[in-house]
Amino acid sequence: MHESRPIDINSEPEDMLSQSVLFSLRSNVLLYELPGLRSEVPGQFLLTDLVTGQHFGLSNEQAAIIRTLQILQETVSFGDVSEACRQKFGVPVDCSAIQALLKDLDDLALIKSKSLSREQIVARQLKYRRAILERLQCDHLSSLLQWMKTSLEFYKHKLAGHPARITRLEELLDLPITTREDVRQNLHKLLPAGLNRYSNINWRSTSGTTSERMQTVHVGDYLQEVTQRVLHLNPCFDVEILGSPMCVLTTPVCSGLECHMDMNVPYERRLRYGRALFLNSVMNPVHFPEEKLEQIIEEMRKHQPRYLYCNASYAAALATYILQKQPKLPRFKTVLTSYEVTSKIHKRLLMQAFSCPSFEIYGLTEVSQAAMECEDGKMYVPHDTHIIEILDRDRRPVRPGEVGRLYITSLRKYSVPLLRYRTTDLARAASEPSTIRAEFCFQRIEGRIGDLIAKPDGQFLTPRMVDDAVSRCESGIGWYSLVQKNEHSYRLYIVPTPEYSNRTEGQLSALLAELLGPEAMISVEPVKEIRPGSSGKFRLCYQEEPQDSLQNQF
Amino acid sequence: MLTRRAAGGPIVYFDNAATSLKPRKVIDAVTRYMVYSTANIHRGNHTLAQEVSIAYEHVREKAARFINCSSHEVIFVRGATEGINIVAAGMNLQNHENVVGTLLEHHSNILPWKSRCGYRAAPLLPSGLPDPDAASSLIDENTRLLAVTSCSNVTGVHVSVRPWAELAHRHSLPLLVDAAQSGAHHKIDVGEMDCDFLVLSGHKMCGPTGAGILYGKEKYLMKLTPVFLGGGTVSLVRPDYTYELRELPWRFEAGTPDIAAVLGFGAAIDYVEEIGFDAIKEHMSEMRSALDDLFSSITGIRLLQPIDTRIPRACTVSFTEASGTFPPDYLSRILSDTFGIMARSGHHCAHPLHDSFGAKGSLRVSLLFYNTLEEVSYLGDALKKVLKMTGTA
Repeated sequence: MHESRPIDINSEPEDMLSQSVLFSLRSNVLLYELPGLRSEVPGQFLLTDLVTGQHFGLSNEQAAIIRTLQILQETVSFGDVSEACRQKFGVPVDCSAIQALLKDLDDLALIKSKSLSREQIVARQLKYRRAILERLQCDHLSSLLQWMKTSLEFYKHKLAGHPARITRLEELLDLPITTREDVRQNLHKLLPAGLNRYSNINWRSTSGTTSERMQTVHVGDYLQEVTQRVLHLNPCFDVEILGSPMCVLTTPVCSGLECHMDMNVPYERRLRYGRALFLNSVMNPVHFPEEKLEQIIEEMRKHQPRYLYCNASYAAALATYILQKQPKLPRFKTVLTSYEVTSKIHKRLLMQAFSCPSFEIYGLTEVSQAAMECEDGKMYVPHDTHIIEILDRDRRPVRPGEVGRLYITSLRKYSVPLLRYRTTDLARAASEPSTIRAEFCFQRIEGRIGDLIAKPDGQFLTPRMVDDAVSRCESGIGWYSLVQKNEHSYRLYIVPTPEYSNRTEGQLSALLAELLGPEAMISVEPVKEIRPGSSGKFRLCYQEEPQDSLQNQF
Repeated sequence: MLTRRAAGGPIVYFDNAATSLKPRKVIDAVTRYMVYSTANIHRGNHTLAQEVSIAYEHVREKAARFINCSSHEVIFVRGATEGINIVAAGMNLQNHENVVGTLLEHHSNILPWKSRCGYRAAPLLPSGLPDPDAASSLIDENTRLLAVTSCSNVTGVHVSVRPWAELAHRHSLPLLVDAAQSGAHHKIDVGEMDCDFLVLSGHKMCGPTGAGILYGKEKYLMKLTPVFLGGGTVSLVRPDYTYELRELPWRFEAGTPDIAAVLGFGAAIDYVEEIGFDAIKEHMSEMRSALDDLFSSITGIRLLQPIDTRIPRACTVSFTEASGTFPPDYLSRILSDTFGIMARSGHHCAHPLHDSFGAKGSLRVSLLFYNTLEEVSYLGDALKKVLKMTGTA
C-alpha cells in the first residue's frame, strides 16, 4: 500500500506488544514474542502463518524452534520440547519460557487444536485478538495523527492542542470531528505536499446524493488495497475469487467522472483493470429495456464473472429478467450490493436469480469501501483501514443495538485523510459482540439521515426499519418508496410485479399499520415508475417536507 | 444566479465562453411573453398575434442595428452552430470542393464543411493568430468559401476579420465569420468587416439559449437553398405543389421559432448596449491585464497560448497543470467544489487546436463584463493554493 506507513514491529516493541501471543491479522496469522526462549537470545517478534507454516521476522534458528514446537504440538510435554530443542540445536533452552509459550499457545488453540472447530478456535482467541487489534489501531491512529499534525495544513490547526499519540481507542472521543463542509472547503489543505510525486493518482467525486458534491483523491494502491482488505473479511472472498473477473452494475453516474458510463459505451471501454466489467446501465431501472438486459447477459457469458458488484435497485431488473427467462449464466459465487441501502426484497431476488449468497458492502467515495457484511449478517470493518464510531447527537457512543450517526476515520489514507468524518449515514450498533471475528462490527447500516421519516408519535424510522416491515410482504413488489406526506399521512408507492393483487395491498397496509401505529393514515398506490434522484439513487422512504427536528436527533 | 452560493461562498462564474449569465431584464422579457402575451408570430390578426409579431420584428431590427446591416439580412437561428449549418447545407457543396478555415476554429465551424466537402485549415503564427498567407496558399479553384472565427473560444485571441475578407474577396470567395465569442466583447460591424456571412449566439451575450442570428449579404443569402421549408417560408404553394419562396429573411425561418428566446435576445442587446462597448472594452482590458499578471505569476501551469500582450485577446485563458497531477476535469471540480469557481474543462469543441498544442484537454476560464478584478484575484489565490500541493507552485 503506497500510502500506508508500514509498522516496523522491531522499532518500538515495548510500546506495541507485551504478551507472548499477541495478535492475529486474520485467523491464521499470528504475531508473537519469544521472550528469552534461549538465554542468550533477546526477545524477538515473530510472524507466522499457521496455514502455510511460514515465519517472518525471525532468525532461521528461531524459526526452526517454532517448527519443532508445531511438529510436536499434539504429543508435546514441556520436557520433551526442551530436550528436543537441545538435541536439535545443541544449546540450552529456558524451559520456563517454553512452558509459558506453550500455555499461551494452548489457551489460544494454536496447539492441540485439531479436534476444535474453527468457531471454537476463534472463540478462544477473540479476547486476545481484540486487545491486540485495539492496540494496533491506536498505533495506526497515532501514526496518522502525527502525519496530520505535521503535513496537512487543515489538521495542523484542527489538531492544535491535541496529542499526536493515543493509547486507548476511547481517547478518540476527545479528538475533533471533520465535516463534509470542512473537506469541501479545505480540499487543498488536505492534500499532501508534493502530490505529483505519487503514482497512480485517483481523483474521485461524490455523487451529491445528500448534499453538495465534493472531491477527494486516493493515491497509490490505496483503493485496491482497501477494497481487498474489506472483501477479505468475508470468507466468501478467498484468494481465488479476489482476483477473478467481476461485473459492476450501478447507476450511469455512480461517482462523478470515474463511473460515468453513459449508457451505450463499447465493451472494451467498460473493462477496467482487465477484470472488472462495468455493465451498461439506464437512467431508471424500472424501465430497463429487454435488449439491454439481453446484452448484459451476453456480456456476462463472455466475461465469466465470479461475482457481481451492484446497486441492488438496478440489479433487481436484471434479476427479475433472469428469473423470467432462465438464461444460462456463469456460476456466481456471490452478489455484493452497495451504493444505497439494499432492500431485502431485492436481496432475495438477487440470491434467487444468481443462486448464491448476497452481501452488503458499505463505503463512501471519500474513503472507499469501509465495511463488509459477513456470514452472521453483521457489518465488519478492517481494523487496519478504518475506525467506525456510531454516536448520538452528543457525540457519545450509542448503546448496543441503538441507532446513531456513523463517523469514520481512515487509518491508511494519507491524501485527504479523514479524522472522525461525520457522514450523513445512520448505523445500528451491534447488539452483542461478534463471536466470529475480532474486528469491529456493527449491526447494519440504517440509511441516510435525510431519508428518515417519523411515526405519528414522533419516533423516527430509518429506511432499513421501513424495509423490515415492507419486505415481509413476500411478493408483488418490484420497487417501492414510502413517502410521509404530513405528520399522520403516509403513502406507499409501489411498482408492482405481476404477482401484485388486492391481497398484497391489504397485507402492505397491515404491515405499515403495525410499523407506524394506529394513528397513521396509510395508502398504497401502485405506480408505473418510481424515479431515482439526480445521482441515480433510490429512496426507500422520505418525508415530502423534511423536518429538521427529525434529522437533528443525530 | 449570483446570489447562489457554492462551497460556502458566492459563485464565481468563469464559464462565459460556454454561456453567459442572464440578467433580470432578459428573464423578464422571456417571462412577459410566457405569462402575458403568448401568441404565435406572423400567423394571426388577433391582438396578441399582432403584438408579438411586431415585437419579434423589432428584435430583428435591433439585431440588424447591433451588427450594422439591413434587417432582411438577419435570420434568426438557434445559435451560431445552426447558422453555419444553414450556410453549409444551402451552398450545395460537392465532394471535390473545399472550404478553407483555420486551426483556431470550433468544431461547429469545421464539421458542417467537412461533412460535405474538403476542409483545409490554415496553421497558426507564433503570435497565436491564424496565418493568412498559409490560408491563401490553401485556396484553389475548388474552394467555395473562407471560414474564420473572430475570437477563439480556447485562446481568446481576437482575429481581425477585415484582412481575411480582403483575402477571400481577392479569390472571389465569400467569407463566413464565426462571431459566437464576440457578441458581448466588442462592437460587431459587418459593414466594416466586409464579411459575407456572420453567425452569433445570443446566449453568449446574456441572451437566453435558443436564439442567435445568421447574417448574410443579400446576394449570398439569395444563392442559398433553404434547408428547412414549411410554414412561413413560402408565399405560395400551387395546386401542383410547386411553391414560391418568400423574400428574405423569412424563407429561412420555417415553423414556429423560439419566440421567447428571440424576445429575450432583444433584451440582451439592449442590456449590452446600455452598458456600452466603450465601458465593456475598458473593463475587459483591465481584467485581461489582471489575468496576464496572474498567469505570469503562477508556476506549475502551462498556458495553451503564451501571453503576448501585443495581441488583442478576450478574457479567455486555457491552461493545464504542468505536472499532470491535476487533470483538467478534476482541477475544474476542485475549483468548483472547494472555491465556488465555475470554469470549464475539456477540449472546448476544439480537438484539432488542442492536438496542435499537444494537450489532451485544458481548463478554461472565460470572463465577461460582469466579472470583477476581485474575482480574478480570487482565482489566482485558489490556483496557488491547489498547485502548491504539487510541489511546483
